[in-house]
Amino acid sequence: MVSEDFASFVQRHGDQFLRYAVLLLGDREDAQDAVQAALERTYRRWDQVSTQEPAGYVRTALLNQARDRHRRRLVRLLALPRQFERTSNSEDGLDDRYDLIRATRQLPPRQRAVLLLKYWMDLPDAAIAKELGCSVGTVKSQASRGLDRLRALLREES
Amino acid sequence: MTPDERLGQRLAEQCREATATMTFRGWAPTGSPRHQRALIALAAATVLLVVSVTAVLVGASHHTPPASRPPSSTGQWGGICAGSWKQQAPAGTDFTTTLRFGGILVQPANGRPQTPTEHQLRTRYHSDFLRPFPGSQLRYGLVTRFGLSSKPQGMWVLTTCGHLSTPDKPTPGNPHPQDRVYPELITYSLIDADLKWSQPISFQLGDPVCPVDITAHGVPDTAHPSNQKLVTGHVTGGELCTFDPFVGKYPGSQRGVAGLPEKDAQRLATALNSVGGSGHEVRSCENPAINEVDILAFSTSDGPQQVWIIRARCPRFTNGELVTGEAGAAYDHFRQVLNDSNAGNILRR
Repeated sequence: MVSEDFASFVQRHGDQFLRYAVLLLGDREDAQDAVQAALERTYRRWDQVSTQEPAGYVRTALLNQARDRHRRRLVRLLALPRQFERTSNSEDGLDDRYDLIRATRQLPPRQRAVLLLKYWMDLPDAAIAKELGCSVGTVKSQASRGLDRLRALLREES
Repeated sequence: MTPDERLGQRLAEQCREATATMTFRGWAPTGSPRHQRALIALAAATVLLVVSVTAVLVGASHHTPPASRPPSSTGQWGGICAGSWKQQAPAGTDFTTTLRFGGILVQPANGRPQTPTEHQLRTRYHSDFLRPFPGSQLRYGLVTRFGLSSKPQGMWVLTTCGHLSTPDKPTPGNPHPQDRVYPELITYSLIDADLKWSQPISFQLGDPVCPVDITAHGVPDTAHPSNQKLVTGHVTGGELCTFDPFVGKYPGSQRGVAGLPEKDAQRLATALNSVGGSGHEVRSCENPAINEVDILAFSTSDGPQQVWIIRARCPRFTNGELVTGEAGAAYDHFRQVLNDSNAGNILRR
């Protein structure tokens, strides 16, 4: 039996979790599954999580999945054509206008998360630091490096 | 507004616009079939991850890098591995020096037409949506695969240096582990005239990659003095082998050499010594703890220096069944090489 609290939490934040997951993972179907898995995990610990910052907990779970996926992608690259990287980006289905989002896919998951949390979700640095388990200084440096990398990637594309 | 803020704002706008219509389709506490499949895939991927990481670690520990190996950044291997897989490699489409890469010997093509052309090759892998890592190098050369063929074949060799490993699992002491890179690892693939790719083969730099100058005539190889004494002394049999061109130069790097029965080794030494000059040695030994067996012969006669390197495998990975066969194949190959230098006649007596 799903508690009322949890159901309303999902209803309130579900769309935002999905959008965050899409931006992190780059694939809508994967994102849907990732949110499902993150919510299951949250649900099992709801008694503890609900008293803290449940939205942050779900986002952290999503980031961990993005990292796992990133790792698996590396394993796949290493296991077969270890001297190549894939260049096809047709799988993300993103409009060409979204050059910045596409460029974020080339950032490490945590750096990508920092940029999304800081600029898209407009979270303060201290909240991001708490969510990611790092210092405020790290958040600032990651954001700065991430933006520098985005600029470089956009230059390369153009 | 600072440039960073402007860029951040642009990113936020794109994120909002791109995801505006996305809605979460609901949550089921038991997990959907697709999710269950994903869990199975995740479990499989985890197994693959563990196997891959283990393979990397086992490989790394098996080929313990010599303590005093020179850094790869010196580019002493003809520019190969002057940088890691992620650094842009210098241009270069031909091998300019002879190199031994584990089980292959690559010699310069000396203007031989490239088949396929580099353009055909790049078109092929672009059509497969592949792009070599920035540090990968594609070079054309004459490749001799020890134990397979004594005839060099024109081939493209794709080399990638360094190795990206998966990061460790986060631990309380190391909550944000980084990707690990093995800068001393080199991976190569061979591409033949029919555009067929070999499986990528990885090994540690410095140990099996050995610069070999087979054209120097009476010029001491001062850069690699150990090459001067690849073959000296006399035939020994049955001992534990510690012979290696890098022994002394790189303490801790020891490889088994030879794999011939002592009788054949003696005949081989006789053959080599009869070719001209003196100071040839063939070592014969069988050490089950060594999984690779090399046969090296080095002529220091008055004529052009010649290096023959043959690789065989020891019983360790063949349960003893193929020892004779593989050592025999290596021996046959050696004999074929010797045929080319008229020494085989002596061997066949």
